[in-house]
Amino acid sequence: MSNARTKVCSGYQAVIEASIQAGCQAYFAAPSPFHAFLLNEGARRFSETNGWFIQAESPADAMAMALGSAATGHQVLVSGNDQDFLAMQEVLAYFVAQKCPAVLAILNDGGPAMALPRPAGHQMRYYLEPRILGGFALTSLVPTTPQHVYELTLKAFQLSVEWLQPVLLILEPPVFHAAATLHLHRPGRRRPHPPNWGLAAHSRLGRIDEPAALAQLAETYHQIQLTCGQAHVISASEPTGAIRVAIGSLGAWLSHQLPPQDSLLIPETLYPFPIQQLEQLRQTHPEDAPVILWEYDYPWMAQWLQARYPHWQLQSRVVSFENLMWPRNAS
Amino acid sequence: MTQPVLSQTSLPYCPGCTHSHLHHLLAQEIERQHWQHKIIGVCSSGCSTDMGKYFNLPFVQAPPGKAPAVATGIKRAQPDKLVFTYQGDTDAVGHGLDALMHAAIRGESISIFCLNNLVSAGSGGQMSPTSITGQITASTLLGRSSAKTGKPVQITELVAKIPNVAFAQRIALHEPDFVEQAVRAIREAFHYQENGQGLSFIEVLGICPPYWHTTPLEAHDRLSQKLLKQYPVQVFRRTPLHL
Repeated sequence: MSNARTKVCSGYQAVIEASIQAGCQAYFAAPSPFHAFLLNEGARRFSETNGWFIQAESPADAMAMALGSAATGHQVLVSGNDQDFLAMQEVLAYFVAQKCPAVLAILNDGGPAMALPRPAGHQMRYYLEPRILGGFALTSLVPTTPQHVYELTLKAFQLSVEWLQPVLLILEPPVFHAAATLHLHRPGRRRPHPPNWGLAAHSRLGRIDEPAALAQLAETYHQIQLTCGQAHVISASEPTGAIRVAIGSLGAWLSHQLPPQDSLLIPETLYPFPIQQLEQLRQTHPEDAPVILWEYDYPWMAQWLQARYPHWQLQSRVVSFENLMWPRNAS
Repeated sequence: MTQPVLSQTSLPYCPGCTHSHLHHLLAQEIERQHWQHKIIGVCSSGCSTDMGKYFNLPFVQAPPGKAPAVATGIKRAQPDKLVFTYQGDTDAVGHGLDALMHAAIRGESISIFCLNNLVSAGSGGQMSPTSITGQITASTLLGRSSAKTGKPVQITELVAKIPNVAFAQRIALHEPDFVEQAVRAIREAFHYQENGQGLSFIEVLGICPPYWHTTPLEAHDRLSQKLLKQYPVQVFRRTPLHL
């Protein structure tokens, strides 16, 4: 008998559903723009499932509360937007130092964090490959559809418990808000019981890590980084002189990959589609310059555009990737 | 046989420091009440940052100022445990006034011990929010100016005004009568927590001879003759204890 069920969910709802399925009981967050959809959903669902939610006074305090619950052997979820994530850094380091697992769901909505209209390259690099405590990189998972959000949230909890470290789940606004019918299956592996971290494992201050375990962790992590880094370099067969459109992390990532003769439009949103901006950009290019839409898994967008603007040389690149890491060759 | 609450590690505090005294009192009361197996401590930044080494109790290290928030997370996860934070005045009132006030606003059933020695001793004797006007510190060499840096914060009075605080008292440890009062306050703070009646806050007025630039005896005299007028030792809030 299948242990799965289906439900219409937005991306943010998928985070909460997957967290509950993964055995997470504790959720902490402070209200902040747009990410609060997730907070509202979590406040409701965690109270329904006998978990606990605390609305913290600040993102750093949300992390600190999560540290307390994680230290007693519970799986915890913390959420915020990208601005909150910067404020969480201090406590994040304590998570790593004390080897406590956690999942951080971060809405990457760009603008409010850095007073910029869209995520900047350096900002994205910081999110995707944060290094703390002397260069220890955290794992970042970037889902591309609501179903992917569900899958990667489960995976984030699994990895965080396996590696005893916080795992970032970076949510793009379109994925965060998009709704779809989700296949909510239960995770194959449950967390170890009793938990092997925090006070439950008698971890005390000043514990010395096993060098062999650290070496194994570093090797595994390095392999994942390499795989992802090599998989997403623009291929040589890509046309040059094109106009490319991509949003959010995808746009920021692409900006470091493009040949110099290409143009890149990173709009704030695809809904509504930035027709005026694109038309202005097209005037600076030859009439037959291809327009290439880079997007997550929404093929209808390209179809809709082609139907409306049949004279465009429209192409589409659908990107679906896990464990997005900053490519090694990016400057 | 249960091992003693205070470990065999020698305490690193300076001669005359109130931390040693308070550590012993806490350990003594925990043993007397047989709370060893149900208590979790949270230490933070400052002189007492390594406190976990000196106690045979589970301790969690909190980021500066965030001990009340960490204790909140522990208490929600383990409601049957007694959770306390041990903070200095700079940590509780300087770095983490927000975390402290919001834990009080929520009425978390945790106990907060704030050792107020009027100076940031752990970092080398700088001014803390509770330093008195005119006090010479490493960062106020001509004495704390109330015009430039404000007046000292009376934190217990502040916390006591918040509705969900069950118990707020300032204690001192410089004379036997005060010590007796302090022991009762420590016990009472944990009893409020056992009953789930809300936050209990204990401010311990302490001395710091090296950064007060005095001998321990002179520091003792300054506390009894001058500081008790500024920081009166009394109960500022006590809700009826459910027995």
